Amino acid sequence: MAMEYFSGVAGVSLTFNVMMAVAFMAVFLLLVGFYFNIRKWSQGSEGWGLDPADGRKGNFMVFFKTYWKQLRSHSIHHEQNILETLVFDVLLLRRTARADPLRWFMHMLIFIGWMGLFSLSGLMFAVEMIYLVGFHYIDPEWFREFLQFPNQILGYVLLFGVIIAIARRLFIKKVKENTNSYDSILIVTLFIVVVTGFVAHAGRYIAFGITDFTGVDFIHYDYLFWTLGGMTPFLTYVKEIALTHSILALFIGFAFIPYSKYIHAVAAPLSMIVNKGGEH
Amino acid sequence: MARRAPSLDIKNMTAVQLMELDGCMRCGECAEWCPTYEGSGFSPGLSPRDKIYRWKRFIDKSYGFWATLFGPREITEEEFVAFKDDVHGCTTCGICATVCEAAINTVELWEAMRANLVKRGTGPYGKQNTMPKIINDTFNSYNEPKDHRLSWIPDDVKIADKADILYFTGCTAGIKQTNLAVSTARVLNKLGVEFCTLGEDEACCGSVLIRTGQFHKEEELAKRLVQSNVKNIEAKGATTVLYACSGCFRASLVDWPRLLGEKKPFKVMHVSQFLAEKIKAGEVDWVQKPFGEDKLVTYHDPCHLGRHVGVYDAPRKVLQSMPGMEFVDMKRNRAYQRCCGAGGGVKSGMPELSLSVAKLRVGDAMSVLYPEDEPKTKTNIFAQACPFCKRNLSDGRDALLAEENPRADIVIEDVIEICARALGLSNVKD
Repeated sequence: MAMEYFSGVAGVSLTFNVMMAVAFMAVFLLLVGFYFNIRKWSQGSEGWGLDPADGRKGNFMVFFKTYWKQLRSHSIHHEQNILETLVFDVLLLRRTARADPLRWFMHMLIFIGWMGLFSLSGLMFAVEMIYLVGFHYIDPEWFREFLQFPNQILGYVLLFGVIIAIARRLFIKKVKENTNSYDSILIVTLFIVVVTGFVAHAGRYIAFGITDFTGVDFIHYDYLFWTLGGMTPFLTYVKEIALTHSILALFIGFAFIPYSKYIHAVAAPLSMIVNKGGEH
Repeated sequence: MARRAPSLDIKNMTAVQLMELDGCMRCGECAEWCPTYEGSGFSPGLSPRDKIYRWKRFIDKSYGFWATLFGPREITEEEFVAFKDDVHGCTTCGICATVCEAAINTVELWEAMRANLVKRGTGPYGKQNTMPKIINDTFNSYNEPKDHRLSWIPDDVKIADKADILYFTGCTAGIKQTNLAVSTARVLNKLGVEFCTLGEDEACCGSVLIRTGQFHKEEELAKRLVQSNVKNIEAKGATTVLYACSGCFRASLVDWPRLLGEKKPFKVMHVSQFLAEKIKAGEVDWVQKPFGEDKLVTYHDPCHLGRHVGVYDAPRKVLQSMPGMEFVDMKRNRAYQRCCGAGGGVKSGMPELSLSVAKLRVGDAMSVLYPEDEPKTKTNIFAQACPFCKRNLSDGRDALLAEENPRADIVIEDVIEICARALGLSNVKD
């Protein structure tokens, strides 16, 4: 019998194996996307003022070699330590903070929320795998419940960041005028993933009676909010909603990275590091 | 069906630069600061963010995921020409790199795009394509005979045949703005600094070719110029080379080693750095107030001296050390200064755009030299350290004066010219 999918909905239609297949497909698409991106970058030359070498265009090593060479080269401006770049510029987004505190706040919320949820999902996956191979030290079902609170908090952090991003694009004239589909797709898809996540989570808890509704508390209202007061469709189709969310999260929030503006999440840090933190 | 060939051949762009295009998060900070975008009245095509996005689209259409699977998509000649015009409407001042949240090295990106378009046959812009031939024929960018390089030298100036210190005059100071060369030479003489020059053998530093993406033309002309200069400097026995032109200084510090593929066998200094060291060592005794009375002075950081290579303090120290000079910084200074509008070939290619930026910068100076709420009682000083900045800022000032703006009545001089005044020296030949 197939093992239950602990991270999602317990049910016959959504087994661990199904989710594994979907996840592997997402990882495959992600890798294919990165392959094409690095191949594209490797069309370039290996140094300033040079043309791409004959027979080496698209060769993966061109990108890695050029990157390494530039990383090791002397900078006229400064020689910012790579650790300083990683901590202050990449993780704390210092350059954004200098420019616009609101944009920095938004980016940090999205960054923390996304990375947090991604890490906890990875952790859940690891626990499931350990369980699956026969080491029953941690009960996956218990661990899933343990993660509910941090997941919910991180979800709200991400949601708040996305709402600020949408509001900026809608209500700040200069930002609105300069928004194109490349920007919009990123925010809209992220919003859909986050909202479906909340709906699926709340619906599951109500439908399967996991949560205790005897008391009136934040969780109670939270779950009622995301299911519009516990409306029947949210509860009837909770498995489908959960499946939709899981697939969207895997394909949009993960596999879509190299095919969209999400690529900046990888390329911008690489740029900061290779340029030693930039000019200033 | 045969696949279409990519419209764009990736020439002159490094693999890292192609990655940087994908790193742009389109925050728009570059557009907030770009001087030509503002100077053009916010023409969308001049926004650095727009240029990065359009070039990224060109690359994706030619080499991206879909292009690899289903064949490249066409980029029309009109798109290339429009892009060429926009990428040349950039002074390569580098403020976009300074404020870029992804730390993209934009200056090199613009120059690489220009070189790519030149190799493709779409660039450069307007009359810029005459420069390689002129420089190849005369070794200077003003189409003057080689011996005209010596015509700036006054009889009283002593130049050694060989010396430890060499003054690299540059085409502009040696041929057009000779006050700069005269001042530099007289100041060095006055301070007892023995120096030599390359005389008729001096060649253009190559900056104009590199900035406009034409360094490879005329059989790697820029490289040949640099090789010639380095060989001649070595022959003079110089260990330190001084520059009063920020463009030449930047080229020798950043571009020469890359063109040569090796380190230079001498040290390079801007003359303001050299003077700042002399002042610190107590070897400079100013003899008078440079303008005969107390003046308020502000300083414009040339992009090639400031943002490009990080020399900010030395010119300020020199100005602050002089008698009768009260120093005040403009709101936008140092790494965040506003470009004068002359660089990157904009002055020659798009003079109206260049002038519009210059007027903005003169406006920055006016706001500190003549505050709105104070009556204008004297003519104050706007200093800089680059002949191109001087020329363009002067044009901006004159345009504002012509528009009957009395607060634009400002003296615009190079730091070294002001030094000559403070040492009681004339900065004109005769």
